[in-house]
Amino acid sequence: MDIGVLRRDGRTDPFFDGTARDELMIKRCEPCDRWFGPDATGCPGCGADELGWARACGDASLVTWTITHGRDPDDEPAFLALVELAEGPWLHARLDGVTGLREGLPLVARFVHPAEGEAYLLFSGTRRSPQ
Amino acid sequence: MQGFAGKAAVAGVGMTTLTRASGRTELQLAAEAARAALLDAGLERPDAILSYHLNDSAPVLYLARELGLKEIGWHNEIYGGGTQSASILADAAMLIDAGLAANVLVYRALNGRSGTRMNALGLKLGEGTEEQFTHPYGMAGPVHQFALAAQRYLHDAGLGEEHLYAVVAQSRLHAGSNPRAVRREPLDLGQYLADRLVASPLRRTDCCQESDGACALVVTRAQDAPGAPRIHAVVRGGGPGASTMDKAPDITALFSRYLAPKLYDAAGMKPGDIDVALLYDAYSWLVPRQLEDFGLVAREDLPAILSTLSGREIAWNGLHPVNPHGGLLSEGYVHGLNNVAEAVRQLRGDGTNQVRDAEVALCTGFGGSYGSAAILTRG
Repeated sequence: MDIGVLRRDGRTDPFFDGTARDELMIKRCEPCDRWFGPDATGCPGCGADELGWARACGDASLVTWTITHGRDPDDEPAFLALVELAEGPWLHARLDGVTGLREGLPLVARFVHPAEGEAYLLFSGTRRSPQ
Repeated sequence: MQGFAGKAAVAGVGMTTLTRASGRTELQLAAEAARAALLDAGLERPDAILSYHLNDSAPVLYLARELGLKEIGWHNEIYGGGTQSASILADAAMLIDAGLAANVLVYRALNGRSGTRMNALGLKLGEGTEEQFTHPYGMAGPVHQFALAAQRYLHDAGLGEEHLYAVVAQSRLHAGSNPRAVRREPLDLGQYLADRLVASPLRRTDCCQESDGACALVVTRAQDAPGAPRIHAVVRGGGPGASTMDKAPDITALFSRYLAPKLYDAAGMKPGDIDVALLYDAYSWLVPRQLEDFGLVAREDLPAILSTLSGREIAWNGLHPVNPHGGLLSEGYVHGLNNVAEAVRQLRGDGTNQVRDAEVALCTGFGGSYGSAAILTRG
């Protein structure tokens, strides 16, 4: 299944500026030392409604997954997942070329630069995980 | 006990035929179900009308006109789907307990198969979130969300595809004697395993029957309907879980984790008091999850209860009867209200695959980690 065209909406510029240079940018509350997903709008710890952006290392582990199948049997299945970033937040994600799916499987972020739309994020296995 | 406990009763139920293409408007469907429910209740016109919808139904005022109401009393439309199917009983009971109406017509009407389908329903993850972080990657609707949670739940609970099969097979067996059901044929393990995966571990067969149709209930003052099932306790709410999984400590948590203790507390009852469970079975795995949360079956007993050899434990005549009419998996999907209608029939003694001496029924409805649940008792 193809990846759709991604468009920024003004609130996510740092995220997509990050993917353009192969960096995963997520939200962070400095005073609380807590990390959040890129769509977070505030810190539940201190109540701050403005969060900063900070670079995540890109390491993650697999929480759960589903393999989706289109109606057309010739369609490539898509591997959708929920991953836990090393910094803590969980992200909905698309896996690429990952085998031996299991809870806790180590993953790493990588970036794809399509001709149209913003660069996007995929998660692949690491050298530590069997391919 | 809640203020309205025992003061309101469901005096009538009505349903249209459920189909995959009704060829009729939602208003026509609503009117047919409403008239059937009013007739069943022995009532000509309702005092008040409530409905729930996802911008896919007939407006309350149109139905009032269709029913020939000269004046309109209390009326409201609640925006919502499956989460409303149990709690709308409380919305009606509160009107009655407060003296605002002597009776309330409740309905849900939709062309859920030929019109607006639920499989592309937005996930409400947050403003802009779906467009930029989930949808382009292929995560398109509830089935993907519930598949992610199902994968983890089966792992955690030690269940597999054979147990999901047992849930669906029992639902089909029940539906075999339900003329309203859209799927009535028995299902064998080979057929189940050969069915197409939509989003692993969920096959097409693990998903409910999206339907066109309508269901209506008439809720009245209990004293006006001495034999009718009573609305005993109703709760609504939730917490982090399957529909907010990126922020949940346990993504497999459903509404039932949060609401089950509150329901029993409000009802002054315990799990052993439930005679029949009308569980919102939009996907097969939600049956074991709710059996566990409502204290009907312990997690460690689920594999045995749902083994293909003794899957009869959730049958109408088993230890823990679940959806004796076939539920949303086989009867059809009127957004859960058809399960509430069956609870009423079971407590009146005219249910499909009637559970013997059913005095207490559990009804549930939800959209993920939030929802509602109700306990009805025999009149």
